[in-house]
Amino acid sequence: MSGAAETLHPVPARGVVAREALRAVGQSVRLEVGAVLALLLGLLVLMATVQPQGAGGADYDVSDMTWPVVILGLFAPLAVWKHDEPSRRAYLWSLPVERARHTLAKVASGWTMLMGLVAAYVLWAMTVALVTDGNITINPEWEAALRPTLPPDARIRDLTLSGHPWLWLVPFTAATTTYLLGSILALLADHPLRVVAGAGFAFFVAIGLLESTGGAAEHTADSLFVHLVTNPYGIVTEVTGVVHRFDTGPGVLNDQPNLGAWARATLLWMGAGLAATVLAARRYQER
Amino acid sequence: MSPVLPTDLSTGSLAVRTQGLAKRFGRETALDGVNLQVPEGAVYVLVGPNGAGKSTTFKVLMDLVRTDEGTAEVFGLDPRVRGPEVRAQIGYVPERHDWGYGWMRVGRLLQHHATFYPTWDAEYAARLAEVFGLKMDRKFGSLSKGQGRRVHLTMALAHRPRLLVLDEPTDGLDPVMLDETLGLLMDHITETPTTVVISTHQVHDVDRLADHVGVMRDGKLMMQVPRDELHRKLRRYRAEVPDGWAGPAALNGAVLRKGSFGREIQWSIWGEEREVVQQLTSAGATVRDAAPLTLADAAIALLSRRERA
Repeated sequence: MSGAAETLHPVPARGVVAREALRAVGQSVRLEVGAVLALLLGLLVLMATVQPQGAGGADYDVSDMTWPVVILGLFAPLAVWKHDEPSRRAYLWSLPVERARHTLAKVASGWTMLMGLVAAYVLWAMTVALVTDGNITINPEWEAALRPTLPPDARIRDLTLSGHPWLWLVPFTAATTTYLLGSILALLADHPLRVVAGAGFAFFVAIGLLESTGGAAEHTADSLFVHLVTNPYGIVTEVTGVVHRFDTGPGVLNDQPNLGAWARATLLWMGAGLAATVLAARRYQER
Repeated sequence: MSPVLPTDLSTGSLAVRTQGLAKRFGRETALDGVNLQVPEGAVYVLVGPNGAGKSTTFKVLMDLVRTDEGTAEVFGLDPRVRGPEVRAQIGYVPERHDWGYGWMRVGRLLQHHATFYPTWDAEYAARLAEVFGLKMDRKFGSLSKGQGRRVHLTMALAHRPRLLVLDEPTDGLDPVMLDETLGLLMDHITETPTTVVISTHQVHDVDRLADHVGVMRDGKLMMQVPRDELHRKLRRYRAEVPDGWAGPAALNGAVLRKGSFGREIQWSIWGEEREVVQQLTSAGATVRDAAPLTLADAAIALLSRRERA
């Protein structure tokens, strides 16, 4: 048997694989990226031309702003893997690259494209606010709460940038988290959309059933929902930077930006998403 | 004389060796104890009908399929353990025609593929593209079967792999392109030190290339043998026989295919010619002729043997 290592053809360098993955993913999703950018540009033109002067401008709430990118992040993996569903990965797997690493290179490439889109989205929102003489703002309730702490002439834009600059990170981390969660499905399922729809449906049916039974089960359902969604470690805190409080009295805000809670929730959800993505990729590991 | 067909080629160094490969897909047995042995530098043609297990065997070499039992080695490397290194040695043309990204233009797909092979020979790729008449600006997914096949062959050959694994490479090629392709393959084998494994059920397509032959059926490797041995030992015997002649019992198992025209029989028999003639003659037959079979006829004889078994 011949097997002298010196006569073997080499495998490609990791950097070469990573660059090619970025290039190939970029090309494969160019239609989707183009569509999003065209939509943003169209909206910008529309708002700049339609918005009457002196009408108060278009205001954007930073925390609410994250929802489009949350959705974008969740569905971006479908675009990244649309030509490489598990049942159609024969070409990818036949290349001389360790499969788990190649998988992660593609995930990272898709994430890079997504971050570019999120940056474009944030810039778009800022531009819309500027050209329409509006504000990139935070929730009006927060403004009411925070206004006394700022100089009387401070604009809400200043409030956001100086008071909670970390909120500008939220769209990026939110999109990253949902991108990782979406990637797990795209890596493992031939029809991730069906899985998302099925899991979502099952979750709300389960919550509904538990609540309908009353007593301890209802409490369990409430608790499950709160822990997963709205508590300081919940997904809503992670993707908005806002903590919802239930123990507030009259005159106290229900929703407040909270850096500590957001950081912890981000660490938890993004960490879990990253770990699960790596595990999903390792499913294809060869050694 | 031994009726057992040869299945051991383990003389000299082997580019590919599998031992006892077994694979089931649900209730279907895809591979059943396959011991494939491809000598280095050989052009090994693996013959068998659709569903014989040829593609599954190739996928095992690429680590695209994991077996239930058995081992595989490519240049001494286990594809399950050292998959990337094994695949770097292989130029692969799969059975599937949609292998590759349909959304890419042909030029881009070749460029993409080249990135993964440091040994990619761009000049050679350009020459292959020219001979194959590849239209670089066409989307790969819009190509016909034959055009796609030519792209696959370019992808497989241009990095000058040590091993070519070609699964039905001539499928979809028109006669002119088939001839061009076979000529190109022969040139490639001359220019580049390569071992070639070709699977096909159209044996006559690759007749002029083969120097080793394996025959698969129902997941089993029935026989593998050097071409010259096949040529020497598998012959069609034409003989005149008396009425009611049953043939010598000693040839049982060595007769692969029987035909008769009145008192004349035409039997394809495996064995040393001298021994076979002796057996036939002593049983009362008058042997008129003993001719070697073409590869296609040999394949038919070998594959039809099992049907009678």
